[in-house]
Amino acid sequence: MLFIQKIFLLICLYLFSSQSVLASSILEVDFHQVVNKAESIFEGEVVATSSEFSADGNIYTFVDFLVLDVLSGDLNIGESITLRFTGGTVNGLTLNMDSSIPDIGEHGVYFIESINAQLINPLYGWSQGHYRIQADGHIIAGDNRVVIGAEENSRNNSSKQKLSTGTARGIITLPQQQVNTPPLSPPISLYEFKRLIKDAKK
Amino acid sequence: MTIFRQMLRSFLLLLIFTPYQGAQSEALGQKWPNTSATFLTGGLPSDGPAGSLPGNAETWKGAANEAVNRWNNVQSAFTLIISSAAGSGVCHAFGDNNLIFSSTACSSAFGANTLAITAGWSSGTTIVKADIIFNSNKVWGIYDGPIRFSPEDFRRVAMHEMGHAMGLAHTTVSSALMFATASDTFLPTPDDVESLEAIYKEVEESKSGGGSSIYLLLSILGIGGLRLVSAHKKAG
Repeated sequence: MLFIQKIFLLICLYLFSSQSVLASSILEVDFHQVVNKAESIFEGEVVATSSEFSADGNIYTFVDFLVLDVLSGDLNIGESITLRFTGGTVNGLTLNMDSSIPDIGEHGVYFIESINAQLINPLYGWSQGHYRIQADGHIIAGDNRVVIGAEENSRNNSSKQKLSTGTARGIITLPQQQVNTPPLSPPISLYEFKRLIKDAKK
Repeated sequence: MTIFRQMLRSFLLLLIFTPYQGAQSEALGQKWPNTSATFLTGGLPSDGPAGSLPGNAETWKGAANEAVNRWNNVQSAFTLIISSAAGSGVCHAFGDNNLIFSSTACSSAFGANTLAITAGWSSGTTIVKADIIFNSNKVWGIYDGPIRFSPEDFRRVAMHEMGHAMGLAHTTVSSALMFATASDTFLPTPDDVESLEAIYKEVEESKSGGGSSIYLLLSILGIGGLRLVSAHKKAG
């Protein structure tokens, strides 16, 4: 019975989990590019969020992170940083730019394009620079799939660029791997993900 | 066995109250209260791509018109209306729906990898306004056929963003216009059309008041209902 319950739960999660919803046209970037172009990379936890109407007529959501580990850039462990995302909900009115805005309590690894540039989404390549860490330790990529690894050479040598599907090119997630190279690899741990980041640095 | 039946019932309820989104496509979960919306192109330049770029004989406004026509010609679920009048309230909750080129997106920088955005305003699940903003820092052309990416095809991206503005999310059908990766597709496909029709069929059904009560009745029927819902979806 327990087995049936697990299978059922997996089916439900697959069918009804929040799927990647992008309503903007973002260019696909490769993981090597995300790692090396990001101004800062850190592991953090969202400790507060607030959305407000600004004088320019937009809604911005301010997300406060507690920095738990610094993988790159000018940040310090234990400090708090605030990132501004365009979009959010105030008094029942929502501005949706399809930024995946981190929610309170979220634990993740964040690749910041710029803290000070006032971008629509401060994460590099939007959801391509956003990796959530689940309670079970699994890393969840921008397409809401579990990360199981990265291609050794994810650099885009083609002159053609593609639009993002939510996850940086070169990141291998569970369903993709399931189709291409069975048997399944296990999800990677946070430690292993950090090692991938270090390996991808120049 | 009881637990299994409870789970099956929960699954069924979840299935029933999940909006129909077509065989492969997704809806954003938001839609316009009516089945038409007007977009203003007064903010687009009156010329077209410069120099030897593809489509340099066409204008941006003409390409936007053609993008709207291509959607309207293949489906009747939602009517896009376009006007060359100047719009108001770009990036504001109230005002017109606009198509513009801009070097910034609603007072924010686009960033290195953003071609275009649809800034959608909604109240609950009802879309109240949408602005489509093209990143003028990128090089744009107007052309059909194989995608080149440099220049980007304005009309193809406009059609894709209009799809989002109407309430469509990305599809898993790689040949569709609403697939997340831009491709050689420059016309709406049956998958795009079915998805749009599914969204706005619900608008029509909710206006007639028939859909929800049937779904609720089916939910009480349990497994037998599942079969009926499945048939209903295929019929949709």
